[in-house]
Amino acid sequence: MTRARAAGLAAAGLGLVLVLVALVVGPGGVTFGDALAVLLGGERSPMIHTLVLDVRLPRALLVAAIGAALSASGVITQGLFRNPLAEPGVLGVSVGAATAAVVGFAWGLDAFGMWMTSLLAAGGALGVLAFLLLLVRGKAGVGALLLSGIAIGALCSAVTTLVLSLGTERWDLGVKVVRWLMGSFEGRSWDHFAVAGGALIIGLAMAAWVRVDLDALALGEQTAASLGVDLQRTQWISLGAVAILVGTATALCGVIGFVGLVIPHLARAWVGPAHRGLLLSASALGAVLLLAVDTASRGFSILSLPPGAITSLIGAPFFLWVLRGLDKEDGET
Amino acid sequence: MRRSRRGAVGLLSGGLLGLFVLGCARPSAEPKARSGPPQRIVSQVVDSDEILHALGPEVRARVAGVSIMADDPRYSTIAGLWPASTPRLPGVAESLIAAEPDLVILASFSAPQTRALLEGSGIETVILEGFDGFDDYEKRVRTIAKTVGASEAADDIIASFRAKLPPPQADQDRTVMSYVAGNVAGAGTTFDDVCTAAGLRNIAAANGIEGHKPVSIEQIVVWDPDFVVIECASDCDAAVANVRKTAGLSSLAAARNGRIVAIESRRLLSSGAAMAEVAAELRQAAESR
Repeated sequence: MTRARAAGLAAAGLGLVLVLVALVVGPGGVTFGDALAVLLGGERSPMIHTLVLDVRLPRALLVAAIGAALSASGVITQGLFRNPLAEPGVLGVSVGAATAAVVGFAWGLDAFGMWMTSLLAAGGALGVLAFLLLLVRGKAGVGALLLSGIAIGALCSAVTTLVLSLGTERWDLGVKVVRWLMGSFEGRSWDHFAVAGGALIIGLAMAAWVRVDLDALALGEQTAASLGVDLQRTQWISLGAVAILVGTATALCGVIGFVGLVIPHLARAWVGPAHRGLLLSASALGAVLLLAVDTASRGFSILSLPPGAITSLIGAPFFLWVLRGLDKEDGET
Repeated sequence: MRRSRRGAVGLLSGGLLGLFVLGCARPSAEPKARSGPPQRIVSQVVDSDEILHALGPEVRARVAGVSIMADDPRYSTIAGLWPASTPRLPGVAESLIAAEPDLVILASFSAPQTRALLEGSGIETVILEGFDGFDDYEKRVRTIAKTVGASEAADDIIASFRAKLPPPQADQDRTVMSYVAGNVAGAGTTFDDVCTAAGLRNIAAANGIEGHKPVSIEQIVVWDPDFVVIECASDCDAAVANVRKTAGLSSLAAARNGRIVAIESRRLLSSGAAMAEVAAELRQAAESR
């Protein structure tokens, strides 16, 4: 059994256990017995039934799917740009999605239904993707693509700030925007999970399609081209995968930072740099870690804590600790 | 050449230092002395826009500007009632000073820099504090009325407010919860007073929540309130339908039994006279559903 496969299996097993734990953590006094009984179709009180089947299970699965999507998109971004500091946010996709959602809040479009904000965010992500694809069509290099992503991100952030500053008197707008920008899994249903799961499958399939090309790209663009890699095709597919994964995640749950940057590094240290194993193990690890974070934060407080802030609070020191360990290893070798 | 450049730099530095010293030494102006009640009143809080309007035509004639929220139907219960000739002023110090007011009504959450600039220009300010219930509202009415020289009118406004409240009810068995922008309203909020007046028990306050907090939906499922109150902008039926589609909330007794009460944002979120109307509406909903 390869290391990547063992890692994937271990993460999947841990994920299953965590899903079960997620079903019992939180208010309501749900036990493992209650959770299993409800899952197997047994009789329990309507409250426990609702907590397990309507609230916690879809949320746990959604959180896992979002963790996997963000981690996979981090692997693709770092592979495409050959830069360990790259993360999905540098392409401006998540910021584009956030800006569209914020503009929607400012114009009161969120009143037109619970899916409107998600649709607007998806539109924002698609808009940024279309711009990036136009750049690729014009045969822009990876460096130009990276800088364009940063510029788009800055532009979108400026629009968000402008919208917020023009509505400073509207406290409810501020609450909605800040809450959305911090990310949330509250009130997410099976429908949300279905969308996230579909996007995850499509995004991972696209990433798997270019996994060998991304391996070759690590040797440099010219070497990759001499090995037969179609650079433009690789960029198209990679960008598309990142946009689908990050755009969907942001549209459904708001901005959740740090996962796309940290998890690929952890997975790489575990299974090595080859994208075949890296994509799957990073996805599994991202799913498990985000689920663990969300479950812990739910158990910690009855208040709805923003997952974006929690992932950064835990992820940043953890990332520094891992980097320190890697530095030591480099020094010894 | 070098000497003249040095001289210019020295002159510039000296000038800047002088300006700094002048700025520090400049005494802040005392409020201009007034012989009678203020004649050019500017309001910068939607709450004071409403109270000034309620104080009657004599006071209204002395208002030189209201907040830009006064006409926004999402927040103001008197949208469109102030005459077009009364300027709507943004909370920017230069706009306020340009209106030549002798009294500006601000709130504790107004920008402190604006307040400092106004007071530094010798303009009297009143800072409204406390927006958390019926007592706070009555206190603000009295403060504003006294400041603008219309203390007697305050009694009428407060009497009218109390008259609109539903008659007291002893038993508060049925529970209610507000759910606005993901927050529930606990103890020490206007909604808590509204619940008590409506004869309902605020379940968030009963469970130790204070102020407005983003309580998780699973906790709300466990509380399972009899009534859920939400805000709506224009289409209140759509707002109710949205809650009934939200995972977890859809299974609440309130959702199953048609006890989700949607109230226009400007009234539900009001810390003014509309609180009495909301209490009456809630009481009616509690009796009919």
